[in-house]
Amino acid sequence: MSEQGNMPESASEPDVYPIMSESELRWAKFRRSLMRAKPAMLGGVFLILLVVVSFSAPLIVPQDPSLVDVNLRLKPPVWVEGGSARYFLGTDALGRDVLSRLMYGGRVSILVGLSSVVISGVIGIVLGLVSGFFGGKIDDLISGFSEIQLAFPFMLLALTIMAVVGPGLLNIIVVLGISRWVAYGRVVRGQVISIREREFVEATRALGYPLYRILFMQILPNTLSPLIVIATFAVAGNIISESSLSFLGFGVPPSVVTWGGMLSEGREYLRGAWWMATFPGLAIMATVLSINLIGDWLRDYMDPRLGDDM
Amino acid sequence: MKRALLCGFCLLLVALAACGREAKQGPFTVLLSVEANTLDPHFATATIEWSILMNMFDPLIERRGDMTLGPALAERWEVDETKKVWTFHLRKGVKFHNGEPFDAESVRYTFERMRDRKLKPRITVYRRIFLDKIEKVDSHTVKIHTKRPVATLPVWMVNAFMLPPGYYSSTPPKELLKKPVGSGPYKLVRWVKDDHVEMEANENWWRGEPAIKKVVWRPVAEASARIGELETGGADVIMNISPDQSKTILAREEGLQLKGARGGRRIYLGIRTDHGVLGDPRVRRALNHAIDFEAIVRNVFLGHGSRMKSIVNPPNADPNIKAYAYDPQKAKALLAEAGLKDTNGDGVLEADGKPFEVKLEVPTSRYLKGKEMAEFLAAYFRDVGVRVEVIPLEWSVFLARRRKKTLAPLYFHGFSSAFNEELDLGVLRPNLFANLTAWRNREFIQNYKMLGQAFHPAERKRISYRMQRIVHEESPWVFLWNQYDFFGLSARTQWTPRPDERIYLPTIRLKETKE
Repeated sequence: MSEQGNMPESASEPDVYPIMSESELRWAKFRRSLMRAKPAMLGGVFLILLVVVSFSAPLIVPQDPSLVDVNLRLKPPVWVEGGSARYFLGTDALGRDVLSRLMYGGRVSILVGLSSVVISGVIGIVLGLVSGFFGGKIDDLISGFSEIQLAFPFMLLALTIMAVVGPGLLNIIVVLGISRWVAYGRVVRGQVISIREREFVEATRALGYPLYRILFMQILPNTLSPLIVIATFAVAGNIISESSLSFLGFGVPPSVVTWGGMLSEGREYLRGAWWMATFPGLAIMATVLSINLIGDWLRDYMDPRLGDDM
Repeated sequence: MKRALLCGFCLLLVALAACGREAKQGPFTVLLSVEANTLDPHFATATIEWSILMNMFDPLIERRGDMTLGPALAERWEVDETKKVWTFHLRKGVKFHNGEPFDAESVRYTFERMRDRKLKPRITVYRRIFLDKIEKVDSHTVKIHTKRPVATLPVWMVNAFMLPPGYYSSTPPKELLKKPVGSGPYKLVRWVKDDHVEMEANENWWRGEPAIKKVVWRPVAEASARIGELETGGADVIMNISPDQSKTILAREEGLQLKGARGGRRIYLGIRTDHGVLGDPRVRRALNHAIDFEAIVRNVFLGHGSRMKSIVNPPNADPNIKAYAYDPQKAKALLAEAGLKDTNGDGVLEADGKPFEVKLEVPTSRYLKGKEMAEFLAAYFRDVGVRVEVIPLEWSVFLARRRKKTLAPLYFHGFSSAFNEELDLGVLRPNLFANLTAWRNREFIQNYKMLGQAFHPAERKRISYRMQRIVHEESPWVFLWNQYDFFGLSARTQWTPRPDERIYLPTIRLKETKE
């Protein structure tokens, strides 16, 4: 399927010069496609903004996000009567600035979203490659294991592990990482099975290339495009999972600001101080939506069947 | 038979629902925050259970709305000169819901059942009063013999609800926990576990039939759901709400009322005096001066409540004791006097080169705004140079740590009150399992022993005032407040809540509606 797009360029024909104009052409195509996909552009702009804001948060936040002051509690946002510009989006039940906490909370979301995808990607790719390439008993074992894990409700698994290891940023990244590898593993395995008998793989094998090279240099690149799409959606999924776990009190410790945690604190004030839960909720929604828009576009872009006319 | 019952019940539910939606003429509905686990008075442990039970049973001596004691099924009582024999003269003509008469045998049976080795009831009254034996003098006079003089005996009688011996001795215990029979103002209609308790007025109650005829108690765990039901007319009394979450909502609907009652539960920060500098009373006093509790009352409780003065509740509190004032300068001075100085300029005080850092453990969803209050207190302590880390714990975890005495040096806790000076002061007994302060003051302990033997009111007052002053000076606690209990009331309800968290239906009046 998708391997036909970039197959000849790889090391299978090392003598052939890479054609500069082709890579330029592809870049141009990428840009053109992205420019046409307005929603994805919007998503991209939002994400860039989010990354910039959250990682420069310590420098630009208007208030100390953990400064507790009983006299400042439950101040409404600036446009509501009683609000003040100092606390633009209002304050929470402990008198902390909601806007500053939103900025800080973005860091956790991005960090957890990306790093757990990397972990699950690595696990999934390695296991998928191994199981698809060798087949037989190893394949049975890995596939069986992945099916067991698929049958197990994700949230239950994550909750159980978090309850045992306790809350923590690293813990949640690892938990999300290891409980979401199956998607990658299965896609890679499928691709590998369809590719491994192809001529170019035969050829490299005949040339005596070592196994790891065949796996990672020949086969892996040809499975990448679906993986990128999966990974994009997984980032969004992980952000939601992190928020859910933090909401339930099983995520990061309460001293770390997260959107999920803010949501949870705001829940009991939903009817009186709506701003406490609304803004983190909106932030989660906007972030996940942006990532999904980009993922949508990427999926179309990488699907060779849709060609140039998208 | 079962089906018929079920059908009937469904019809009733439909009828109930229909009533609720109309002009609030349906059964009087009380929304609780938790569910009762038993309705057997000898197995009850939770405040909710006592609240429901006191509407179906009567004790010999009752605690009235103003927290003084008064006669109920006993018309009068006296103690002899040995201080170990109490004579109770029982009310005549009282009948239990099932028709059994109330007499001396009921009293004897009730106390004997409490200490039934096979039954193993949870009630501790017989141990608290050092019960020796019950002697029936005649059909309506009993003598309670105790093993030693117990001045607080009348207080303990409040929870000793009288049972009909015939019914309770012939019914299996499993059924008894579901189908209580007492002599109180209300009779049980049915209890559907996890759903509701339904009661109807006892037309033969010895004080006269109560004004409200039908009452439904329902557990609704979420505070916002309880408020919602009050708003839509599905409830008349809702308990356990917090003013900052409910005030604006209740104000929207005509006639709904937010009622706060100063409760007896004493909320405090326990100080484990066996932990480093916390052993120094000057440090403990400094912590007391460091917090602005009035600001918390103003902002969190909308002005309901004030800082705790004495650990003894009114009317037994020493009126001369003033609450610790918010005075950060004085706090800093006291800390400096105790040898704590910020030598490296990081804003945190040090003693012998070690920074003054303590953990504060607080149970979540147990005390009104407990977790938030702990955060505010920590912020105040930081202002005077004490670094406090707040650790929220599940109540079950907190309880386990309390039992194992492994709580942090500062712990957020609350003691309920029986509104008696001796019992109020007793929470600082060194051997009390729930007292982790490790505070031992010889004068306090000696006085406590004397108080237990003192029967004369003036003598008791003198000793208890002395003890209250010692506690105030020594400050084994950071005194916070007497927790307020907040209730939401429907427009038709007229009621002043009691300080002991209990809902006693005969004290509730309904406003006359014109329709």
